[in-house]
Amino acid sequence: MEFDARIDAVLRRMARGGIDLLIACCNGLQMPDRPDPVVHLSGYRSLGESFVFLRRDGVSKLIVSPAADAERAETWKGPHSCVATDDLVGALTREFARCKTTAESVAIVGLDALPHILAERLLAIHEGANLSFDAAFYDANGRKTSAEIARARRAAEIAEQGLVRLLELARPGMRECDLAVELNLHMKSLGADDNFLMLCASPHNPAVMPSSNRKIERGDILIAELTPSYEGQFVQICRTVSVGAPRAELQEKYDLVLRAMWAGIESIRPGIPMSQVCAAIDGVLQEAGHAEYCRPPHMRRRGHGLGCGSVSPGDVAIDNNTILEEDMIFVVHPNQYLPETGYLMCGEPVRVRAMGAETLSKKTAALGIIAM
Amino acid sequence: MRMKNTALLTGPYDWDPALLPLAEFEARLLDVRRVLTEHGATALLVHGNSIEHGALAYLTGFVPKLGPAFALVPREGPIRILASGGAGMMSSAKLLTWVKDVRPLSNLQNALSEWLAEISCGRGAVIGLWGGNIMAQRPYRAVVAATQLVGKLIQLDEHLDALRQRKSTREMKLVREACRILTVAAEAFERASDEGLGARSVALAAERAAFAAGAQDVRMLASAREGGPPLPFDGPAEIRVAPLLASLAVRFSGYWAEGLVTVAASPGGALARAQGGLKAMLRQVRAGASADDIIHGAAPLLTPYNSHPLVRGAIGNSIGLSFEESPVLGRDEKAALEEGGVYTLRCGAMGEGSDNAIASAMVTLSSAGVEILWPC
Repeated sequence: MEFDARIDAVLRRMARGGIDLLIACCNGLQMPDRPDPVVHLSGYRSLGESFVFLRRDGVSKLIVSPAADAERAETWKGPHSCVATDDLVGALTREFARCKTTAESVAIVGLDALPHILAERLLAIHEGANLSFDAAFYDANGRKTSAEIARARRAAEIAEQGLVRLLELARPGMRECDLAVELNLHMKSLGADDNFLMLCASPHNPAVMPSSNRKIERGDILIAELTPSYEGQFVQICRTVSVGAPRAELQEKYDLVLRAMWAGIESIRPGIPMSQVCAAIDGVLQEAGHAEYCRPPHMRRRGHGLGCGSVSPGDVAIDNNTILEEDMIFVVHPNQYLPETGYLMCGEPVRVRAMGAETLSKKTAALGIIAM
Repeated sequence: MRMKNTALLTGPYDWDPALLPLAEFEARLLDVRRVLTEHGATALLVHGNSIEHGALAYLTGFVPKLGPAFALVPREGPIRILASGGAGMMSSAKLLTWVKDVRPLSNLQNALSEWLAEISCGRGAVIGLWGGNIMAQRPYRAVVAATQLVGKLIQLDEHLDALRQRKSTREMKLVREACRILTVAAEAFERASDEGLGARSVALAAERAAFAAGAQDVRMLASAREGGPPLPFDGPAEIRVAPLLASLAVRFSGYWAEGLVTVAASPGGALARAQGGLKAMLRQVRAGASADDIIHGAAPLLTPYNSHPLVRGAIGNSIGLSFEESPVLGRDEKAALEEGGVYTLRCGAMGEGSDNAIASAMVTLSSAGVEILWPC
């Protein structure tokens, strides 16, 4: 699937919904599991708030902030015309005047993430716009382009090299935050442009958390989500590392979580609902007597789509009935709290192929050990 | 100036009472409550998110890493923080602040309604909001829905932001340390550039040096072409660039320091003009000086060069817990320098082709006069 096909799919969906003008909004924060419709339509990752105006005839315009980003926006504009400004409201007002559409035929996507003052200005200009087009917008085409798939592969390589570095560096006495900073710098040196790197350690982790100033200790279980972005495409691997020799119980429970992950990955194929992947993971854990921990508050999702454009097909969750298609990319991570061990993490990024799932990571999860 | 936002903050963010003791926060809370009383407010909601959280950090030390967070401040009694993340993540969130009551923000409207009931906010209550301008549409709707049941919501940013502008002695110590780290970063940047590294590696060397010197966060933008404006790194391309223009920002214990640098082996006329312009601006710095006063002496020195696009919107701003605090000089009409404030001032010249340059300084004003904090 190529970029033009994505735009065509969105245009067809607009035509079906009677939408003459689509306005995609971005708040300037790109995240692995939250969609950014501006990136989805243009590839441009904005510093500040930005918009894509896409007309039903295919003509589009990229409006970005701040004005100082003009040169960069120009290189990303692709087929769009482009304006970089510090006066977004003025630029939006002028663009609306040019588009000459009725409010009813305008759809706004990504409004909820905008600062409310800007969101309200937008709504004031186009009161009555369709604000419930987000799902249709992303459903129009949730596949990654070949360029995004190539980036995801490189991001997966970087994540795996990040793990190698983690195993080299992590030791008792080192602060979690210092390890996280070192890993970030290392992955940046390999080409990552951002990273959602959650990393924490404790003998019994209640959840994965952002790094604190706590010093790693012998006997800790270190858990990490390594989530580098390469040219805007995030990929995630989830790993667990025992600081010192693991207790027998830890290895046993980790093997269980791994079996659950593989049950999920092996269930993946085009045409099934995402809920089925979650059910396959849950099944293994339920059979082992952990049904209670497969529900909230212990469990919300078993993975998620990977942005920063579209995060289709969404969460690996029991209530997500999105039908999987070839070239969708997401992370499958059982990431389970168990009373005996605390939170354990394993997760692989996968691409949906005709015959099943392709894991993008080469060396998949196994319990890591930092020898003492 | 806008820097690239990062998906997750990873540096040392836990509250360190040795750097900012409880007494500092208690004094701030007293000042905030005085403003509440002056405006007849029963309670205050303070908002922050991972992009901007200056108000929240000022009052509580809390830096939201995962999504929006709120401090719920009654006129009397303990503060509560609602933080993004599940219940299992609160042990980590609690390390970020002196506030003891930190809870997960699961359903904002319900959590706010419950709290307003707990503090006996009856009909006709006035609820202040601070840091709300950058709040996303969805949580804002929840705030409005919860507060309109008991009374009205008033914006207190203008009055409360004023408290942040004048830095305390302890804050100044942290700002100075941030400036020291900025110097380390800028020197590493220049050294790496002199060694012939590409812009990406130059920035990475500076970032590494800043973290090694104790930075909590580091952000960089740099030229993607010779003499080009500072931009984020979109890809892995390693391009040797000269002149190399960059915006460096480092943070220490919450406080930002910013520096614009131009590295050029054979500087063109632009660099001399940018530096000359900046010196002229610094000569105009005094309490009460406006953006026009400051730029007045610099503009003729740039001729025949144009002012660099980077500084056309604003020539500087107050800086501290936020990268850009009010006032923004050149954007806010009534903006003027104040005694006790810390400011970043920027100047830039744009000539032909790659002959472009930017420079900046950080200053503070006291009764003793003007002190240049950076370059150190």
